[in-house]
Amino acid sequence: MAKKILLIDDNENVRATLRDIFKNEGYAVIAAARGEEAMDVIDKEKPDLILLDTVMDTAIHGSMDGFEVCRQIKKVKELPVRVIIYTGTLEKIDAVKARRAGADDYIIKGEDPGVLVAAVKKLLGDLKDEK
Amino acid sequence: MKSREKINEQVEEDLRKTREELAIQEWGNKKNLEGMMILVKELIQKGKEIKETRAKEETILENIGDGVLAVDRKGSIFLVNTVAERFLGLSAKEMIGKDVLNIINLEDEQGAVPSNGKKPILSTLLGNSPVSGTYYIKTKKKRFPASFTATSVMVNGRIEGAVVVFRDISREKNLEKLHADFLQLAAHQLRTPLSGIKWLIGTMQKKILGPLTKKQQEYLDDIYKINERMVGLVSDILNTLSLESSSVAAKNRPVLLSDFYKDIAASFEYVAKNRRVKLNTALEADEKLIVETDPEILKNIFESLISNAINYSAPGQEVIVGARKETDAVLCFVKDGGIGIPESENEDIFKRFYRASNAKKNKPDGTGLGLYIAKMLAEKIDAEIFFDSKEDKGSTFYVRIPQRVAANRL
Repeated sequence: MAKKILLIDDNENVRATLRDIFKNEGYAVIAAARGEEAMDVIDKEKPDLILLDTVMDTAIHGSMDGFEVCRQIKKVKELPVRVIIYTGTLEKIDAVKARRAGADDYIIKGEDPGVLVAAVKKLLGDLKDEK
Repeated sequence: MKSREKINEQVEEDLRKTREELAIQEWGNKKNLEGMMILVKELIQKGKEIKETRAKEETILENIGDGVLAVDRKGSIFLVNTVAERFLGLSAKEMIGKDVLNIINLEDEQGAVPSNGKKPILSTLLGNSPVSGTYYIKTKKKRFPASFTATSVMVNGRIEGAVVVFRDISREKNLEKLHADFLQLAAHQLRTPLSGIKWLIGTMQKKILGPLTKKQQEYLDDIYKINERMVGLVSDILNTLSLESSSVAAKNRPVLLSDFYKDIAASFEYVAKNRRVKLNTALEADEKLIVETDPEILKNIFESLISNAINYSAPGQEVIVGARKETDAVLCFVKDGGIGIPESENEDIFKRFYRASNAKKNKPDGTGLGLYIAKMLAEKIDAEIFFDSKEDKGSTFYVRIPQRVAANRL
């Protein structure tokens, strides 16, 4: 059975793009727009890996930003789920905070989506040695 | 002992936490650095793309055959291309940052420097756009005619600068001159034999060579008329050419319109009577209307307009010559109730050799130069010439002469 990835991002376009990319890589992809809603999904779907955007408009999408969602997942859920926090904005680069929140990896979402794909594959043990 | 163990445990715990914290920090820093590298790489890539686009734009700019020059809203030059450097005999370094007024020396054909407001770039910065014109550029080494088109650069509805494109039109000017020289020579050559014919006809009409039969007399009269028409045509052509080569410079004198109209009406008295057309002047209440202009040129314009008005009116109709004051101009007019101008031909009426279709039918022997010359003359005195016309109802031709307010009255 295909491994399951949960995308949590408030931007619909980003969700659609990442969904396509990871489906193409052979994963099952589910998505959520807000942190709160994600918690239910995690219970139900039991994803293998969660991709989390750091910046979520808390005014619209609830009280939790990416770091907080990560903290909740890692604390409350006793699931062997991997979490990758990613960010697209220069001023929000804060890998230390991500690590403290319990993230397994922290990725700057650059122009090359390959970086994110490689990080996912590495955490899920799907990375073939391409060196 | 127990407390010592506890202390040890505490120390161990602190050490573990510190190590953990250090690991987090180290991991975070490494990740942050990786992220920064990705962004830096992207920025470099973007920078490269921008450079490439710029290079492309510069190549286009440099390969335009025209001179291109851009100024900010204060008139300070910030961009020139190689063609502009060549035309102006200055390097970009010598021009950039300088006031365009100090870099480009403009003058008209006679060598007079145009007022700042007329200069294309300044005019554009003052809010007119686009502005086109032909001026001579004077550089250290040469003087050449150039055609200009200046366009303002608007940012958020505000003029932030201007771009001017200009080209050397020496070649075109030379061709124009050759063309004019040729026509002028041809016209002179035509005039001489025409005067000869006129003189010979006169001799025969005065019966110096002996008596003539009635038929011979009639034929001679016809030949005389045809010859006169030919003389008129040649003189029109000569007038046109002299205007086009702009060798006539306009003078500025106060002209009392009431006197001016009286003189001109007197000169048309015979023609008007002959065609049984009434020629009246209407100066409205203001008898002391004065225009500041070139009287000779104004006279030529009115002769052309009045002669048309009389010629295209039917016997018994009236031609009114008048004027009225406007805020900063005097509007003169010549009104007739004649054949008018077909609407479809309104645009062509001032063109060289153009004759309205109904005019050709009514008077087959016009030259089609009268209104063309009138318009050229009007331009010489900065006047505006336009008309209002309805076919079969008549035409009114207007000449708007701009006035400095102080010169309007005696």
